[in-house]
Amino acid sequence: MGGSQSVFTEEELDDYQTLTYLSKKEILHVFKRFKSLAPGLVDANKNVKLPLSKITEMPELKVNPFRDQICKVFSSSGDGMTFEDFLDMMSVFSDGAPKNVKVEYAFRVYDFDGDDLISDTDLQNVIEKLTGANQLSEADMQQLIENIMEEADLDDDKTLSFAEFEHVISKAPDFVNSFRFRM
Amino acid sequence: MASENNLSTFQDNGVSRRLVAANAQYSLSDEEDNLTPNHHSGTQYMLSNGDIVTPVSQGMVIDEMEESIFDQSMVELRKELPSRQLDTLTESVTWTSMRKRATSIYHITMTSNQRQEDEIVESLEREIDLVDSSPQDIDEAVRTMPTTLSRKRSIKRKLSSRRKRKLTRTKLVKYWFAMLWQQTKYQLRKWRRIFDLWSSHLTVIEGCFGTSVASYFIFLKWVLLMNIPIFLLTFGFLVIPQILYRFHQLEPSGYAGNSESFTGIELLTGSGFFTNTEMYYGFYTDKAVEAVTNLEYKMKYAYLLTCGGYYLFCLILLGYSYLKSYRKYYIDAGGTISLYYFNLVYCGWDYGIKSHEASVLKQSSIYQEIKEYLAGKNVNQRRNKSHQAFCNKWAFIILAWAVVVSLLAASGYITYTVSNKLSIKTALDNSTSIPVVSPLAMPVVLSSIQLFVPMIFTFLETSENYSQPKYELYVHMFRDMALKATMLAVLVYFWFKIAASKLECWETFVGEEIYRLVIVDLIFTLGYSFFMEFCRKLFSLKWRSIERAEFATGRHTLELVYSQSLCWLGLFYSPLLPVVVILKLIIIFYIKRFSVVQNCRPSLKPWRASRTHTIFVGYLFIFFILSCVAVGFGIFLVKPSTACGPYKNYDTSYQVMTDLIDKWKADNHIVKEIFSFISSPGFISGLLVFLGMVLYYTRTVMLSHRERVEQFKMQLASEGKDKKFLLNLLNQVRVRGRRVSKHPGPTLHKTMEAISPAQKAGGKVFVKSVAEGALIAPSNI
Repeated sequence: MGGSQSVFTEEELDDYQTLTYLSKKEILHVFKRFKSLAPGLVDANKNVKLPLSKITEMPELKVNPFRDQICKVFSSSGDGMTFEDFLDMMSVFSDGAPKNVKVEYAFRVYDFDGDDLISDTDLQNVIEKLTGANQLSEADMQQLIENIMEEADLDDDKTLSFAEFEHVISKAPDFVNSFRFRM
Repeated sequence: MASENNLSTFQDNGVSRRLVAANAQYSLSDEEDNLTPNHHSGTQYMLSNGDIVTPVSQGMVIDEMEESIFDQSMVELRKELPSRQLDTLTESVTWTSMRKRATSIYHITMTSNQRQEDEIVESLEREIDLVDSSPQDIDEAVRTMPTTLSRKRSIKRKLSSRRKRKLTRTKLVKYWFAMLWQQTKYQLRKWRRIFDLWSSHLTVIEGCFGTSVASYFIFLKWVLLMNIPIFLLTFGFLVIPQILYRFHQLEPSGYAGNSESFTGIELLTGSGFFTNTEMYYGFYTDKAVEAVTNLEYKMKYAYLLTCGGYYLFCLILLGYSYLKSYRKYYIDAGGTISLYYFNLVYCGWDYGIKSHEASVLKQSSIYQEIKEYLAGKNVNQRRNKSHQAFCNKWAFIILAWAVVVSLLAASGYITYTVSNKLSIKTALDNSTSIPVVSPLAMPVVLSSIQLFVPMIFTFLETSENYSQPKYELYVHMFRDMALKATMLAVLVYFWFKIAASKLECWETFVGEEIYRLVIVDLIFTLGYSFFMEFCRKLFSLKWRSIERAEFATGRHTLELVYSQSLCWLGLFYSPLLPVVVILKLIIIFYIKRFSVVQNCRPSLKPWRASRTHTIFVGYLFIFFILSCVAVGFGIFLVKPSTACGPYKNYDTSYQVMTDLIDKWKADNHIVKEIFSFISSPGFISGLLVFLGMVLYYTRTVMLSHRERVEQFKMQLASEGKDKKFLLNLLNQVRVRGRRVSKHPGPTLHKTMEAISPAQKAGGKVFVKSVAEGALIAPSNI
């Protein structure tokens, strides 16, 4: 990793370290991964904005059914990710990020239409993406959506607000373990 | 009705506007409403006549002159909300420190704009001025803000520049210490990476197979790391002094006195050359080691105290780990609602998966699980239990358990016989024994029993037909561990009763036996890997019908628990055993890691990693306690051998300590007084009473916390009803609003007065009464 050490100044690294949940070594490792997605472009300019198609080449994202939504959430400009966006993403998905940060971002990832509520259509989207090639029948889908709403929707408005989502998912012991990338 | 019409009614009718503004302003939590504006700017509400209404955020203009009436009516309205009816909860707004604030999330929508963030920054700045917060708190608060890195950086700059307060000298010192502490924390975090051994391997495994298989390897790593301090303790306090003794005081010094020479077979049997070395208890001296003149190191006391030391260390580590696991997976997740479906969908995807095959499999497994759950719900309702089937089922279960118990008894008997007939012969001088086979017979028999009997258990379980697969897994694990525990108990009994009376240096014999058990266990594990996994892969390449093996995580983890409990059992009799176990674990890790990636396929079955981790640590803890009890039995009750070891000529090993205490008592009057006081009945009973009180107090606190949690849950549910209540009110007033004059305040007042007495019950009843009141109210005006 000798080459990437000289790309950032000490001050920049310090800054990144305080603003994210990664250590300096991990930040450099993340940069290495970012560079490997498009070596030529990143060498020329380290703040280059890579298009989303290149970002989804990353192994974890490539097989992830929610990759498009994740990229959309973390990209600050909407059409590509700079290194800082990428670092943000890796920071949230790292081991050091506390649960509430992960919950916040998980809500954004699962809220497909961006209206700050998880509605039936959002749920349906999630389930379809999760099951992949095998699709549930219409009746099963409706039953599943109903069951989930029954469990999580506390105020009976047929949508999950952030507060309800946070309340329910904080109780799930598997959430933190599943919502992370291994470095 | 056209929507513009609604809008115009909106703007005309001040009340509806107030209510809309009120609805937009009040979020679910009350304490923050002076500090955190609600960001639900995009929510839409549907009125009862089907119109969609978008409340505008509080950027709306509210007339100045109606401000005071507005505030007052809002206060009254708030008092009437269903959620406020729970009087038992205190309503004081507590000022949380900056750090606590940092842990509460500022929920910013995806379409957040600069204005909202400026508001948050303003609130943060206000807090900085009011509360004395250090740079770390600010950093922490900024770090948790769910926004992009560049915005965080600008916010941090803004906040840091605001802190231009006059720093007194004490504050400077305090901040200097805080920065120092921060630096050390970062350094520690860097150094902790050293303990991240094998992280690259773990990443590969997790990428291919997911968290279930990775949990086995993580458990292995944890057990290995636990063994390292034990090794250091025994090495530092026992082995090194003994080596010094060997070279300085033993006649003849060095290795010359050893009657046997080193042939390779010792690695397998543990006896021969190793018998008279630091490996076993028998070699340790009971004299004092004097490597440096006039400094005496009494081996007797060192041996016992080190033993106590490492057991205590393990106890603390295990207890802490178990409690942490239990708390995380049972208490935090506990609650009256079961969350199967939600967890399945939202925690189902493992983000660490990297390979395409694993992701396809994960998707199919989630699909299967969903179908199973949905089907299971219906099947359970439809099952009708006939009396006959019920009796049959229970008769079969009792039969199965009887078979299990008889199998356990049989294995115990076999173990005892083999030990009696074969193992002990090697140590007795005047008997014939086959060189390698006799000592190894018992471990081989033991391991074979552990390999084959669980297959019988599995067969029994499939016939028992449990309602849920997880019960089958738990019962199987219990039976497996009971088998291991039975055989170990029989062995311990044999060693302490029979071997101790017949053999001259029985502790060394016990140490050797355990060494052999460990080695044979290693051989069997490698053999299993080879035959079950590698050969199956070869066969699957040749014949399509045979599939590659799945990695049996549960079985392997229980094997780890067994091998670690052997280590604990043998520590007292063989101080160098941790070395063997550490090497064994390293070998197993590498073999299994390469075997799993090359030979196994990912499993389709879902694996509840969280729950099973608690169970594994629980079993480890139980076996630790059992080993401690067994070794304690040996120390306190069994007579040490007279020919070898640090405790020859004593009645029990523990006698050394009692003699020491008696000596202290004889030498020193004060010590005698202290000891007689401590061992007096009054002191002990006082101590017990005190402990009982502490226990009672913590239990009461726990119960009260639980009650509080229940109350908060009720509060949450009723806060949800607030929204419905306000919507209903909005609806009613809007419907009637067209007939009402332009003064919003009195209408609301009158509405409130009309509902008298205000009902204290929350929920639908209350909403209904308010709605009815709203219907009646206009007629009073």
